Amino acid sequence: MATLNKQAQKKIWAFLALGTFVGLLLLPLFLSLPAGASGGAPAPAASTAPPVAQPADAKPVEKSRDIWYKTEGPVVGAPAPKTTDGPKDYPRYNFESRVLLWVANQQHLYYGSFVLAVPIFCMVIEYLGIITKDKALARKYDQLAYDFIKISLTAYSLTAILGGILVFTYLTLYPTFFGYLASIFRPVMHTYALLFVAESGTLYIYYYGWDRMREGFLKWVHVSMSVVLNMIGTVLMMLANSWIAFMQSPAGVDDQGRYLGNIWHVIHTTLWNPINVHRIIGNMAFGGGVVAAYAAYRFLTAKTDEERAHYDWMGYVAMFIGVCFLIPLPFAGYWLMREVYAYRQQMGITLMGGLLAWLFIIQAVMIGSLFLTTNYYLWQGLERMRGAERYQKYIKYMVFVLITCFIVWLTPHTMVMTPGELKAMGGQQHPVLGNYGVMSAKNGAINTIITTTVLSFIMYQRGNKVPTVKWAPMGNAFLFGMFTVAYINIIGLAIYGYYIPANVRVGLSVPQVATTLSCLFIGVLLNSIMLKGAKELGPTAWGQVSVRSQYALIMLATAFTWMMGLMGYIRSSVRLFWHVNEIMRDNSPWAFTHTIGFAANMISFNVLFFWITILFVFWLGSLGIKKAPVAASVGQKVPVPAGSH
Amino acid sequence: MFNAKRMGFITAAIIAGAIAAVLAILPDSGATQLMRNALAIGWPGGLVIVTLMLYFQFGRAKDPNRGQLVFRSIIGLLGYAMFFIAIANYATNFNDESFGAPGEPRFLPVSLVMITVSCFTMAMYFKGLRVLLQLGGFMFFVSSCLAGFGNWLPQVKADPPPAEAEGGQNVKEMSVQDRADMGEKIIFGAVGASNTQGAIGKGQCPLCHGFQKGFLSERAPNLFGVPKRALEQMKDVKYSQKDASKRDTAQKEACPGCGTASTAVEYIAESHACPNCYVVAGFGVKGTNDKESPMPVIHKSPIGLSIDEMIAVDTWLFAREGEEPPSPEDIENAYKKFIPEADRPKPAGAPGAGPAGPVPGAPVVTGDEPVNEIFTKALCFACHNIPGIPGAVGAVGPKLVERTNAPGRIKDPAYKGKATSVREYIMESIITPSAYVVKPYPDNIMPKDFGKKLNAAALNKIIDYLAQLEEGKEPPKIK
Amino acid sequence: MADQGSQISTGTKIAFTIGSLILATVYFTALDYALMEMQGLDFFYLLRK
Repeated sequence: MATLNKQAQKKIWAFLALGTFVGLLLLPLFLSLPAGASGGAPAPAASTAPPVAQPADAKPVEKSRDIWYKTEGPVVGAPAPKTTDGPKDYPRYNFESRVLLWVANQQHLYYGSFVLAVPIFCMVIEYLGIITKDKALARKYDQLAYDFIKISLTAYSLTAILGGILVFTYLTLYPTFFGYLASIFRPVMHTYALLFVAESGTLYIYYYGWDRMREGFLKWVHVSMSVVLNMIGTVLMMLANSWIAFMQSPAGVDDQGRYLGNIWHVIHTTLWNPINVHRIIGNMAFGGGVVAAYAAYRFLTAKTDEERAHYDWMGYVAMFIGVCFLIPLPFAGYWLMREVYAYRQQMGITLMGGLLAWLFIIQAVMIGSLFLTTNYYLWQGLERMRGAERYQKYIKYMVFVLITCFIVWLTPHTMVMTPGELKAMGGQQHPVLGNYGVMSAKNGAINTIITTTVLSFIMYQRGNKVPTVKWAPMGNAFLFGMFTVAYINIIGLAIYGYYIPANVRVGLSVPQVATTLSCLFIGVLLNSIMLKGAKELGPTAWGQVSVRSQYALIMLATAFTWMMGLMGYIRSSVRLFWHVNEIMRDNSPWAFTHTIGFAANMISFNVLFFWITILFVFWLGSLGIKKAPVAASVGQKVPVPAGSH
Repeated sequence: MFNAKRMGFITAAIIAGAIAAVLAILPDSGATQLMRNALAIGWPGGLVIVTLMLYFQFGRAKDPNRGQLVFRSIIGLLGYAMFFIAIANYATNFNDESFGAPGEPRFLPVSLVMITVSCFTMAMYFKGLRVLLQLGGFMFFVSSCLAGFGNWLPQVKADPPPAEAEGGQNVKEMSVQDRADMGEKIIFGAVGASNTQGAIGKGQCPLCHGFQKGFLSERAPNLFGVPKRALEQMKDVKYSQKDASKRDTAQKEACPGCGTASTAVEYIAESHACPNCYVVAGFGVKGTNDKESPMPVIHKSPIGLSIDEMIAVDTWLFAREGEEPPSPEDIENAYKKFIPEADRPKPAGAPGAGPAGPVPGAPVVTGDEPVNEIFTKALCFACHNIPGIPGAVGAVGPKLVERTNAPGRIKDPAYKGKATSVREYIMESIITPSAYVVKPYPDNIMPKDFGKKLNAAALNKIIDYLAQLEEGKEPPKIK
Repeated sequence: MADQGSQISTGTKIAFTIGSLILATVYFTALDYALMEMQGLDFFYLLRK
């Protein structure tokens, strides 16, 4: 009884501690709420007060209409300043200010995304560790989560430093523009700063409390702390997103850029939510890439078999998470694009059919190569397993399918050509190859690529296992049937698209994607169930994998980073010569849009700068580690996270 | 035969020789320049390595690893030299787009390849840093491929439109050539850019229009030969040159009483001022059966060309086909015919001439007219059945008896909007038609830009009216 | 290989495979049809023409 009471007491204390903790965390938010209100409210109050006090010189409150929401509101802010090229609005060094800002922004963003994504992994993996019954496995998960957060801790301080540099760059190089943004977002910026403090506090307690809170109920408190941490992180990101969304699709101001007193309108512009969703998913894919690169680095420098096994496993898990989030990313992108079109059709055309369209070609190349690399990694992974030789013979066919689809996927729709070339080819489109350049063929190709990747993954899952469940032959037959018909369906729909009018054709992409997703979910799920209690032909020998596979991880990570830089550039440069679209014009000498080549060079520079610094961080981290993290013996039952999905 | 001493001498001679060659002996060329720049940036670090090498050679006479240490220093020096040549290349070619900076950004990926090679070479000799160097090298390689690809694609640089208030020359006093050049610049961003696909200027015309024979022009007619073709288009029955009111387009006239065009230049002016007046077959907004044009009104925001600018554009359209362009006065008169006084963009620099007009997006409705006129002008009648509005018997969209409909729809589980009242529901349906789509009507048929086209007064009138309509009851009287 | 599958006759295996193919065909056709319908489009456009 006494012990039970003690237990109960402990629980109550734990609850109380958690409650206080959450309350303290939310305190800044509550404090900032009146701050937010006082940021927006007093100004209209001030302008309405005089008429009451002195009706003699009553001036009617000037009202104006929101450019997006079309609501009327009192004019609170000053109109967007009209800048002129000169040291007042655009002070500068003997260098393009925009490029400096570009670097500062991108570096902050890379580190920011990384430190926002990693705690989300941590949360999931730590949770997995708690619910796993296998003790050894649970410890392994826990250690992995701890490893993750340890990497992000150094990156966290770098993020803060880079954020400071970014703000200083803005203040010194674009003072007028930043002043205008700050005048509108004043309460948001303060909330942001306070939340940042809360985020730091939680992160440090979370990290340093790991050992203290390792058992029993305290462990649950620890996990819930990671939930709080991620909530704060997400809100932070959303607030920062509201600034860029405002620049792209302003709302809450009138057509002269005068703030109308409704802070929610300014935050909640039409592109805000699509950008939020796209960024969260993108961050996760990116974070997976960076952690995978870390694991690859540690794998390659590992001295013992245990270390190699651990980091091989870690790289696999991180890659798996990254690719899981890579798959929904295009859908989020599609939503964002649709909203851009709905906001301003011209902006959409500039993106997809105009000035920036070639950048999407680069993106297509990258998406294709990301999937190829993923497949390559999975095939390399088969080497870890005895019994996986059975599947080696299929690889060559898959390579063929993937390469064919990759080429179709890359065929450009129209090429920029000289009139002479145009004549020689007899039109914008090539008589034969032109047929592969249309959307119908490309949708078929990319869906085939993804479906093949799913197939690779299923093959990988089965690597060293033979299903023993009674209905295995039926399951196998069903998997075979499903994939066969899925391929036929995807390719059939692509061909069908050539014979029907455009307005019906555009709809075909939806069933195609649904087919791919069906294969993904049904296939992987069915396979996982089938493999429950399967007979193992041999252990998965973590760590016994080729060096090339680790380079595939590095390739994935670099490509993720590059793609992020590219897409960010596209999103940002579509404003063309506006600081705030259609409200505040960029009158600096750098209002022009750079060539694709210049942008590609800048992106490369940013990517390499990021990786050089983060390799340095990794190297620093490896200095502090003397021992291998957990001596999980090779050949012991190893967790395969995919099976649990 | 080769003792350490002799090797040392040879090495020293080679290094000294190389430096001397770069500084003085080699003929002046791009490569020499590059190496000189590299030396200028990287000499301190090079000096450190050389010092180290000398220290290993002479300061550690008894170290058994001496030979290896010296050898590594030499390799390090080589890698270092390569690295700095790459950096010099980067620095010289970084930017050819800013003022007074010569260079060729297309060479930049070469730097990345050089660093890749340097990294992998170093990795062979420096065991401790091997993995880091190899990983770094690989990343440089991947990035160089991507950057190279980006540089291989056609390069287009887009200049911003000239800032308003340029206060430049009077367009009417320019020579024909200068005027045409100004027009080309407005359309394509630069003089002589009209042959480059993708070039685009302030007018943003090439976003949709092709201008050369054979150029892609899917969204709008190719404007090659338009001065001649205009004469034929005006004879089109749909154009209805005799009587503008017989047109079946969304907007029949540019302004009440403006009439139709009689010359090519007037036709072009009308197209700019009133894209909806006549839509070339196949280029209308999807679903409107060529009644409505996707083209924005050119003298209003967001494009907002002034009449002077449009004079220049039209001059170019004629001049580039070898035709005698009409005089600026003729063109100006053509625009004055189709743009009423109040609507004309103010001359550049005049007070109040901002980049945006009073209401962006060209409202067709002022909000002062009676509600039935609003319904007609905004074209609601074409698709919807609206009791009490003559002619509003459309069946493309649902019947608008909102007092009956709205409450039920808000309660529909499929309803995803935010409205809580009938009025809010109507407002939402007009501004964001996709918030709730009545079955079985398809989504995306109703235009989404009514929020831009209609001002608050007009919206209020519409909402007032629709909110009173009930199924089976008499519609209210129109005031 | 001594997996369970070998205990089942080839005929049954073929039957399973054919059954799966039919099932998958039905499923994907229904999926195509439903998703096209959802967008207000006609999946069997070509057939009806």
